[in-house]
Amino acid sequence: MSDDSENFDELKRLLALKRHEAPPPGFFKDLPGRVLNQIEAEQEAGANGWWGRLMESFRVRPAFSGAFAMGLCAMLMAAVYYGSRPGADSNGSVATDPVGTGQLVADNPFNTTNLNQTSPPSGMFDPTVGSGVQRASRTNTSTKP
Amino acid sequence: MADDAEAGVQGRLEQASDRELVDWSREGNMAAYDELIRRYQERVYSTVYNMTSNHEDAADLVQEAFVKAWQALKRFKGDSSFYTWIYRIAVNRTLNFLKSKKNRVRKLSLNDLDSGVENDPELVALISHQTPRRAANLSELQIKLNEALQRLSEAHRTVVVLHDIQGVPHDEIAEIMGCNPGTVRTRLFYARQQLQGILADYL
Repeated sequence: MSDDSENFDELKRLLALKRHEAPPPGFFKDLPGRVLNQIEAEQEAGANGWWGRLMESFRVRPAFSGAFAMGLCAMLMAAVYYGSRPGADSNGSVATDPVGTGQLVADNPFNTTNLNQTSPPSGMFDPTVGSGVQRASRTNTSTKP
Repeated sequence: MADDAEAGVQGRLEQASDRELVDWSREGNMAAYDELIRRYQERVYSTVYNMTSNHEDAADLVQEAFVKAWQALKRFKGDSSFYTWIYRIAVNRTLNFLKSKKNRVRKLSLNDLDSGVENDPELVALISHQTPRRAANLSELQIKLNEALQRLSEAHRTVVVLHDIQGVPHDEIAEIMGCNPGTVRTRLFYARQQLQGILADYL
């Protein structure tokens, strides 16, 4: 399949029109200077670390700086809005029993504890239960022949 | 005296080969790189402009391409010419740009036609054969032609721009686009066929 296998002469003539589209006067005179300026600016920004690169990106890409500023404003407005909402103070917003622990325990089918039990487990407040003295005596007892 | 010295340096840069300019640029010589830009800016711009049909986009992309080429000069091995290499960078950046804008409506921003257009023998022949149906002025033809080019896929458009507008040979296009010359020929054939169909009223 050769590109000359069909007659495209008319089309080629029409495409010749594209060769006459010229950029605004002075464009090619200025372009090398713009390229070299950007190269130098990027080299300086690279030498100044991340802060320099950020500042340079603001200078080279105004759209980026606009987006960055808008994001910052949105964050500030959100902070002001949530901070000034009624009930947003620290005392009012603290939940005392947020998940209803009693209900959770009752719903658990594997929980074998007595749900109606109101008194603490026996020995809970007895200082001798679980003390080292008692454990030692138990140990001694078990080692007897 | 200083002016004479400056003129001497400028003259030396203008006479230097691309290879020499690349070597000096690698050493950080900005004047050498300035000369390389001046040598190829028109061809690179023309390619990118014809691929995008938008002057502002083309101006940004060409500037970016030359900046990226400077940053990548240390990796340029010299297997191909600087001209092919810078073309490849510019074409790839343009293709990526066009892909990123694929789902958005892109406006044409066309350059004015230069004063030589009225005397171009090929265009004179085309206009002199106009029938009443084809009675379009040059500006209208320019818009229709650019719209037709934008309807081609990026790969087909690139081949038509490089070969039929820029006059780059098939094997160089293959090198620029990273494909084989047979693929370039096939793409060129189908792209021309499509263009001929779209522009039937003007041919």
